[in-house]
Amino acid sequence: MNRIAFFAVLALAALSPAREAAQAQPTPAARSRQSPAELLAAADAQLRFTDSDFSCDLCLDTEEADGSVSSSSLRVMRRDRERKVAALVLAPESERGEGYLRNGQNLWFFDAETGGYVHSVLSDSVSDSEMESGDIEPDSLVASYRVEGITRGKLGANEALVLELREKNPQGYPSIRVWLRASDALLLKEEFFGASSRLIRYVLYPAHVRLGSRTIPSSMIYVDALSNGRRTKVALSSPRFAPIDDSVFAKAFLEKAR
Amino acid sequence: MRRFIYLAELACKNAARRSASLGGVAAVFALAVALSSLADGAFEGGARSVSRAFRLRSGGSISVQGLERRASGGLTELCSKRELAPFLAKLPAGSIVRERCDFQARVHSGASTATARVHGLDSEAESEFLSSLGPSVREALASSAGRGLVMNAKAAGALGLKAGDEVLLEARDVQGRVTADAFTVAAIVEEPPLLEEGSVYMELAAANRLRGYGPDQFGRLAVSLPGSMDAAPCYGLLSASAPALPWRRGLVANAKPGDTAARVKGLNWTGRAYLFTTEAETLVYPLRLLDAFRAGGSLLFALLLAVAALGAASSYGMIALGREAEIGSLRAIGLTRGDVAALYSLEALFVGLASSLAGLLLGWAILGAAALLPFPVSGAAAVFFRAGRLAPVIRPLPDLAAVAACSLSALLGALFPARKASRLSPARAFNGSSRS
Repeated sequence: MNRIAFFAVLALAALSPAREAAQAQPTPAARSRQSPAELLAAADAQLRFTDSDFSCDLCLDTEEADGSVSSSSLRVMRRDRERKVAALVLAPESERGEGYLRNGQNLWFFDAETGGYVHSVLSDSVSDSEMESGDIEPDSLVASYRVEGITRGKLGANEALVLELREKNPQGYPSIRVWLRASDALLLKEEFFGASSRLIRYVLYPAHVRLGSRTIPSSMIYVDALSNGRRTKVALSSPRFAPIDDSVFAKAFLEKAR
Repeated sequence: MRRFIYLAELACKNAARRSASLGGVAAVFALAVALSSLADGAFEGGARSVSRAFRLRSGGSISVQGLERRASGGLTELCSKRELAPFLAKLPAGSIVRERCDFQARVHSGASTATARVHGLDSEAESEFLSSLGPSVREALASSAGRGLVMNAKAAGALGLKAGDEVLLEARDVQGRVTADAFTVAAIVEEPPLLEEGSVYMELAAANRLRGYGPDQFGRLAVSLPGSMDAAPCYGLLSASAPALPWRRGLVANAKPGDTAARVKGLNWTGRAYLFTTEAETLVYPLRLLDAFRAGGSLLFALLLAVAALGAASSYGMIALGREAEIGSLRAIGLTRGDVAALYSLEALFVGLASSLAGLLLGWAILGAAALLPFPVSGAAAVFFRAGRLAPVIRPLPDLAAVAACSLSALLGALFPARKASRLSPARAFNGSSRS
């Protein structure tokens, strides 16, 4: 009897984390039953954080077609609910002190050498990589796109739900195809199509990190579909959801940080 | 009057007789006028070549561009055929109207990318321009069934492209959405970078498709006015033809042709506007370059004139020393001091006039010869030539002004020695005294 009781307790102990995980993440069956809007919101929640400030370090490695690699790193501070971003270039040494400041739809590039600001556009690349300035704090998928269809597919070893998104109002990319892992709606891939329906670029999300109740991509690969062979691998480190001082999202901060 | 004619005849004979001793001064005067006429003819020809090249590139001498400021602050370039109908109806008879579509795009080839300025044009209507880019360019573009590109050699070189290669063109439509399409390089051409660099030409329909224009919409209107009609005065007339349209004028200094963003930077408005620009306003940079050369040429001309005038003063001073007996004789037969001064001045005037006329003829001859010779020009300088040849223009007025300036400076140079010679007393002149 004692032995039975011991194994029963052991089995319960072994099952309890699984039960917690099951409570945190819906079951595959539950995921597949989620509405398109809920799936889109789940994808959005992995990229945008409107309930908290967010900061992290990004390490960008851009591979050219000839195999050469150029690297740079950024310290990023985001306040998504106000569409504010401040990003400081930490490396390479020649670009150290440069920065980006976003306030709504306005984006400025801070040139450390001249100490001046240049009004930039969100489609400009970050440190000559395949990552665009707008990718530092992406637009809300829920606000900008509607789901036109869902299909089932396979991406590598993962069973995936493929969301076909269409713009609600004019967007840089009128349609996006989003690949979510069928089991837990983890974001795996985004394909961006132009107004001519041609695939312009895609982003792969091969690794994720769990922070409290959130799961966010910890590694991204940005690929220009029009230029064969050029891709930028972005590794996210030191992610932190904590309040950031208002003074960070001001021009004076970048100037001082220089 | 008879006295003056006698003096003029005498001065003319003296000038001819002493041409050898005044050879150096005469040569400088001739050189100054030859250079002046050469520079004026070449620069004027260069300015007209630039103007012609620009007109061909922009499609006309007047550009009308519909612009709309979006809420984000960006500009949408969009013309409406319906809106512009009253404007088109009022254009002078003989005007040629062309639709164009200009925008910035990225050209992808394999792993390489380059930025280019794309111009969509109607290859049927703009055969003259396409032919000016190079032989069989028009045919190559026409045979590609709307999928062809004519690329600037610089952009093609950066991407390692040759005719027949396929490229992907990535652009933004009028609403800022990314759009891309595949094209074939139909031809690669050299292009003068002073007008534009890294441009790509394609069929208007394909360009409009990339920009997302509807059937009633297009990017830009290029108007060629008939004959020598000036574009600037037309503005009032044309804008009055469609007063309901929100017309705008105004340019940022030194804006490069086709750079709409720079051109409208200084304008402040919200909503829709039609920007009306003329060739003179957009062709500022190459013409300023020519103006700088012209200013340098004028300075050189002035320096040569000053040197020649000083030479004339020195030569006539020396001549006066050797002509004391002659002066004494002239005074003895009744010529006044004023007559002697006038004789010397007229001699100098004739020398200046004759040498500058000879210089003018020399300048014109060189210009004529230069027009026949091919110049191996490339890059920025090519814009000032026409098909590799100088297209000089002879303008009589500036040339005659140079002749007049030379003659006047010879006269001024001789004034002081003439005054000195006139003061020589006849007795002292006969006695061989050198000073009065």
